[in-house]
Amino acid sequence: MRLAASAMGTRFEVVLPGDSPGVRAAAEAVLGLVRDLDRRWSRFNPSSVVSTISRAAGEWTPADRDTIELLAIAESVRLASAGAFGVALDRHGIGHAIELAADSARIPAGTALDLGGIAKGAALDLADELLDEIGVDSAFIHGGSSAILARGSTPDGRPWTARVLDADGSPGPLFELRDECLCVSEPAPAHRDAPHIIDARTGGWSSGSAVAACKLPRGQGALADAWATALTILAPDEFDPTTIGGRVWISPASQTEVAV
Amino acid sequence: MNRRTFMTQSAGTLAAVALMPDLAAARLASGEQLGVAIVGLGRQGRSIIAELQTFEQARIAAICDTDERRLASGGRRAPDAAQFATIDELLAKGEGVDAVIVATPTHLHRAVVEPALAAGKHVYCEAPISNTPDDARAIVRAARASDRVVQAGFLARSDPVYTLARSFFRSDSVRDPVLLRAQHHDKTSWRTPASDPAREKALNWRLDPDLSLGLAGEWGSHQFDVMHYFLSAFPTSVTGTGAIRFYDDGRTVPDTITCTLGFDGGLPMLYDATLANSFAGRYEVLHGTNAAIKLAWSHGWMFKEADAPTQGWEVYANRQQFFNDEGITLIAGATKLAEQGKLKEGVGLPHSALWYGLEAFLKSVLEGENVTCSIEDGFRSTAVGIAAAQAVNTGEHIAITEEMLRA
Repeated sequence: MRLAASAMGTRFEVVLPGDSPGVRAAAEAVLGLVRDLDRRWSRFNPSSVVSTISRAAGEWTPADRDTIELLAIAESVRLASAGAFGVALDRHGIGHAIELAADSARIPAGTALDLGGIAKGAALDLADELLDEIGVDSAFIHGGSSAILARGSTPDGRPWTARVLDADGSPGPLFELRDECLCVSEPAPAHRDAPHIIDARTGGWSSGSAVAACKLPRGQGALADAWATALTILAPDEFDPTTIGGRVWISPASQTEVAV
Repeated sequence: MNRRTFMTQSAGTLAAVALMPDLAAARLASGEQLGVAIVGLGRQGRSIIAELQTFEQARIAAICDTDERRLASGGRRAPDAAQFATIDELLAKGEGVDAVIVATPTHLHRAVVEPALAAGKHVYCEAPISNTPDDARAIVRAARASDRVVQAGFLARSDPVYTLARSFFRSDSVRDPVLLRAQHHDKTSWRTPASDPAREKALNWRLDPDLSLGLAGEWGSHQFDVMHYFLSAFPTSVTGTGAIRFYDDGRTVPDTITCTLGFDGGLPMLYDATLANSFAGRYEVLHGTNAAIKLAWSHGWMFKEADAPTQGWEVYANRQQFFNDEGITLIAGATKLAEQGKLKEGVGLPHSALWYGLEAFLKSVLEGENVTCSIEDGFRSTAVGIAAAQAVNTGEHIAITEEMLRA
């Protein structure tokens, strides 16, 4: 069963073994969740909690638990990447710290939230929880081919696979995925007219790597998504990717893979 | 390590994150927050959890669902809430519960509303309020016997775009209504996945012809309520058709329906809903001799006739082109925003329709404000939904009598 929906500015697709009405219902439930999260996390939707927090920049704003957890992960990557990654951006594109309580968040006055570098991965984490709840052990879900969740294995017991392409379209490494997520960032993909990843330290477009991929155990999609973004910004001598604790591939900065 | 344990287990990384004391706990100590229990943790129940967590004046004191996995999932989202499998257990053991939000399947609303009101809780009941006239009347009786706030979950009545549009509709801007239309299109099987086959039938109550009001009742009643709210009137008849056009999965509840509701004076409302196509989603249109108003949750537009008089405020109105038609965007607080040069920032609402419904409920309970959608309002729109479902299921012309609308 393959079902897809438009959400988070891209196409989310769910692949589940089987084609019964119950399997279709499971796929629909995942896509319904992703659409709900899109409404909650889109900066283009004035009704979203992200827009609410941004409008109240400088003040504590109550938020739901899923959003607070997402922001906590974003803040941890901001700190660990020395500010290269950020989601609370001022008008110059420079990232700032987020303050978090268990039920509220505060971003500095003059900043606004942009979850483009982390939301798809976070959606995969919540989809993973939903599949736990409805008892689906095998699934492959991706958002725009750049954020992937592989639950369990394929119906014949093999790992799910995904090949990362380099910036010039040449094949990169083939990732085997079993209960893992894989996120890929590309600051200047060929299908876009302009770069789209901001170096939150300077506010300028990322001038780092052409492609970065980060694989982590399932349930850590938000972390993988944020790190894939940060790794396209950081220069090789600025960060040791082994500290992330997963498998990382960066091109062309190293053309190497780091497996931990 | 998953994201739920991330905040507590990755201490090394998170040490520098500015985690502040739990504001909710502090507010509770000051006695300012309303303790709310959410009963029913399906998709709507989860949306309610997320929306309620954005209100400073409320805290989720308890959650309740008979499904263990749903309850556990709800518990991860509301970790401070006590968890219960039944409403009886919740009412007996739940501490600090002032209000109950009922988000169970429609046919189970009565079984929650009655004991909750008897226990002295304020109640917000999702809509339609029931799937049978008898149960709907029992809910109204229970509400009348209580001094608590009871609100039905028809959301147009608390949505700022709809309340603004209603003021235009009831002014000369639209003039005499000639035609009402509404649709709800969403490509979804309406089936709920079940981890336990034994739960399959219970979770898929929408597809059970003995329990479900189908599209006419479950979705249609919300859009019929928009018309009731705008007109302060109810249809006197309804006809309907239904078919299974796409989901050949053994269901008998139609996946595509049409209804025609007749109001006094021959004013018709045309309604259609389908699970097989999503084009144009959900909206309502009210056509008048001077203008038409189109409403879609957070957005609304007025399309004026060329021979309609121009009004002063139109000078600064924000406009949007729809192929050959130009719509004036209906913006809550437009005059003030225009004075500030921020009119476009007012397009679209800052919160969801559900948020406004919950806000209205909290204001009624905490500040004594009027209930935006009373249980009687909810009863009447539910009754029309039940009649429409009957029309779709039987193919018969159903007269909607005053008796049917009397709780």
